[in-house]
Amino acid sequence: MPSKQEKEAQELNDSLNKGGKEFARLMRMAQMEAAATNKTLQDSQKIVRDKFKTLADTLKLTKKENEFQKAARDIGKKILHAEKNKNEYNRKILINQQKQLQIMGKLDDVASDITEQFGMQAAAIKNGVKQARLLLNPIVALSGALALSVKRFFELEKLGKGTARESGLLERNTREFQLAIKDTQPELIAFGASVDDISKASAASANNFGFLNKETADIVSQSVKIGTAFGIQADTMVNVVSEARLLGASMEDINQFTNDVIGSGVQVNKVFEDLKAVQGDTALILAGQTDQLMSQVLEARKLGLNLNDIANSTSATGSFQELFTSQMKASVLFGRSINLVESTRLRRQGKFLEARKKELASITGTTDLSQQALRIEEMSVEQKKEFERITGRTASDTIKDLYRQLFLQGKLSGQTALDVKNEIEREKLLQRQLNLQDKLSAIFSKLAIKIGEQLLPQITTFANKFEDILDEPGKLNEILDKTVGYLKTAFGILVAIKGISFGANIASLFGGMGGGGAKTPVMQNLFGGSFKKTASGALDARATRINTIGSGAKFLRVLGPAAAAISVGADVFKLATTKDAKERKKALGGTIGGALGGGLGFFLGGPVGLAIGAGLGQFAGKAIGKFFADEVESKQDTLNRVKSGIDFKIANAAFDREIELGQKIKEIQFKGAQTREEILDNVFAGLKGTELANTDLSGLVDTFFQFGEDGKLAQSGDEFLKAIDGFKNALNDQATEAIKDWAAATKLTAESAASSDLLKKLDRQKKGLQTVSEGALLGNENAVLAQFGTELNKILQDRLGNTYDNTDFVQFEKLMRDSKFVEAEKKIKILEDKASKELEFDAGSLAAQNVTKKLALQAGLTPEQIRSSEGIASIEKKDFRNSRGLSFEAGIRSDQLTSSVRNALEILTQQVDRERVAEETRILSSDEFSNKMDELINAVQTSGRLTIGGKEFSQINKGLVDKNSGVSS
Amino acid sequence: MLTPLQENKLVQAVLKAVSKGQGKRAIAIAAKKDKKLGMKVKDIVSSIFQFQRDVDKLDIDPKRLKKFQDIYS
Repeated sequence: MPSKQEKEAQELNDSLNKGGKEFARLMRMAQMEAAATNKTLQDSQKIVRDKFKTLADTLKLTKKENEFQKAARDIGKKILHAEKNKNEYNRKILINQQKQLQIMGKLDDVASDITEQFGMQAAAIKNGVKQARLLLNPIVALSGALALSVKRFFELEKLGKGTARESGLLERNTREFQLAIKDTQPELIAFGASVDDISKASAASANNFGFLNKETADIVSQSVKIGTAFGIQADTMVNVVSEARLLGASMEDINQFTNDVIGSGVQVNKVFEDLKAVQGDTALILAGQTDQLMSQVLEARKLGLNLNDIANSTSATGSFQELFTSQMKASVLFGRSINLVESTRLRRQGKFLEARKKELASITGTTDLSQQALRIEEMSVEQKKEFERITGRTASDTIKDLYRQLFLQGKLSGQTALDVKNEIEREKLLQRQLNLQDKLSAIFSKLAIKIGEQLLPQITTFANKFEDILDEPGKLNEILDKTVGYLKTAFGILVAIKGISFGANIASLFGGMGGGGAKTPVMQNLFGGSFKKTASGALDARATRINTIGSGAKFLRVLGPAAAAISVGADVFKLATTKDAKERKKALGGTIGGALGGGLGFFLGGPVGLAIGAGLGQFAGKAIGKFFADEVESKQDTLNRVKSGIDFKIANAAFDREIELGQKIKEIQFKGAQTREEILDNVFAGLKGTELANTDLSGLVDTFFQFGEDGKLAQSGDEFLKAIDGFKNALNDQATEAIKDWAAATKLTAESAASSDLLKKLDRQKKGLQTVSEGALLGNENAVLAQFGTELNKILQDRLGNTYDNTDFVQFEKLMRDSKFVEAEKKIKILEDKASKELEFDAGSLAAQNVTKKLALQAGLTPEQIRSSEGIASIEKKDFRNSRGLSFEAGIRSDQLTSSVRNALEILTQQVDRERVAEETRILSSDEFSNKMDELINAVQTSGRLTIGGKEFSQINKGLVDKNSGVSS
Repeated sequence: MLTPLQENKLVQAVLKAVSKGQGKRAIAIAAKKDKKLGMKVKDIVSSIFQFQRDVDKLDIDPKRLKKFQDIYS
């Protein structure tokens, strides 16, 4: 019978994978188990075993069963059963089923590994690339820092002035405090506290002390930290600390107490809330005895009690007469001599916990907590009432208290208590208290603050200098007017260049270009302004004109000054990351505008000025961005709109035509028609003016109608009606085909209007490149490696001729054939080294370039395009000549080689795209295109009128293209 | 900066080398990634070898040892 130790050791070993077992041997687990011969040693060996398991889990040295492996294990049981029953057939099949599941399990394992690895790498690469792009761009770096600095400035401004305002002190009287808090503020923010928290805590401190200096800053800082970590309102914490300080406790005492509280393992927030709530008799008794108050609160909490609940009993301050009366009454009621003198004495000394213990022991007659609870439960109603009167707590609350105490005693005497004791470093504990998300956001906040601090001195100098202007409203208005005037002038010039419609877009922002009628100025009431109010304080309904907030003011008010500054940063980010050319232009406009506006904002003065400037500038900047959009982009937009407009019209027209034709076919009259000619005449008359008007339908007539030798109709009655039906159906089919042809022909014209042979060729090339990129060769990394080898071999043969010894290449080919790809990678690298040395140029890069060139040719690119390509030049040996995993030996990595080729093809695609844009620009700006568009529009109009009376098509000029400006309305 | 998965692979490679008695190789593997890590692994490796020597010197009941060696095989 194996011992418990053996069983547990076996269990551990079973959970280990191969690596884990090696690890166990390395750590001499068997020897140490064997050496643990007595209980003490076996107990500690158990801890070693548990920790070993934890570490093995972390290092992935334990077996992890997936669902397939688990299912396979379950089948194992059935195999045993089959063996036992000697059912050979079942056993065989079950073994194979188990194998199937095991294979699936392995596949699943590999798949999850790859997914995990790929996910991590992808995320790392994505983030890395984004950040690298951001950091490499100096404009981004500068503007980002500027935005963060402005944010930091606002933050500090809020902290300083907000604190002064909240505390009711003059700003200059809080400077010492501000300086001190400014130093610790980043740390506090990083800790998860908000600027509001700090302001509130500062105000609470000011209320308590009546002043704000360095020491109060320390109190605030400490309190906010503890408050944040343990979920206590920052001002609660400050109140407690401030009161304690004012009651004579030193900061050291308070720090020591805080350490004790944290180290005790009790709910920290409850202790401080209890302290704040101390009142009534408790406060009276403990007045001036801060140390005792604090320790009593803590001790009470250690027992799960609130000091206030237990301290304010009747026996605390009652008269001696009352004391003796209740003592007598209790003795009678409980049938036992009850002494309340001692507990009352203790209470009056402020030793509430001891007093309570004495009281409970005296009333219940036992010191055992569970027994006390039991006895209170068993009390009669009268006894319970008396008990409540004496202790000041209800019986049920007391029972709850006692059980909580029991629970806490057990809890705090175990591992928790030990852990808490070991953790003496408060900071560490506080940090641990914050969850991961807090920590992450703290790291980013800290980073943002650090960056923000870089430009802070400059911003502060500017802001301080111009803040004085803000204090003079007259001057401010003057500057505002002037700034808007400058902007108007600037836009006036732009409008003169571009046309009035551009001006109209931005005119509303600045209240119109040239004055105009009575309307709300856009910046009206930006700062709250002079609202007309009624006596009750509500906005006066009769003064709507004055109370209206201008659109610009609304915008800025909603955005908020900080948001305006930050949105410049957002534009910068967009600028750096967006792929869409148009978006990039807009963001560029926004950034330039934002920076310009920020500059203008300095003239407005103060942070508000900065914000207004940035906001206005950004708004304007976006318009500028649009203005500077490439001609090609505008034309492309126009063309796309024209094309889709025409397609839409054609689709509509085709549908209408089909209906119309169907109707006409239905209405063709055959009554009275006797001969072939008469039928054809009727059909012709019915289809006049439609696609089928000039179609030769005699064959169709002959198919359905039969004529006698005299040329007259041979069918009559039902036969004749059936023939008409069949004929009309056939006509309908013909009509559908004809309309399809018409639509295709018209659409072709719309497409071809902006097309050329070169454009078609470029389109083909792009498709070709896409096909090659997604093709079989690049889908197989080993095939790419084989191609590389062949190219390298060819280069050597061409250059060295007969002197070339191709042994390495032959070996490489053999390794590839034998699927020994890793060895093949190393072998071809050796050949590449030799080639580069002998030929004295980079043969590896050339071979890879040749592979790519062939693919590009296959895609339809011309040799000229390939020769001048950056894509081919982008292929460099260093990108794919690396070692695999931890191997020291390098090879030509097939995966990296394939990715290099892919990248090159991607660059080639971009090159084709660029050429395409150039060609489109040429087409769109040519007279030929304009003429073709005119022709097309006319053609559609004309043909439209022909069929449906021109109703739909007569609007095409208005709805589609304004020929003068080339811009669709 | 290594991802957790890469870190794991590295530690596994280090342990594998140590269990084969290739302490220097283990240190080299770690040092290749990071010099400081190499120093740490050097310290671990020497602790492991010292610990193994100490354990091997212990007087253990051979019967009991055989039993546990079978368990951890």
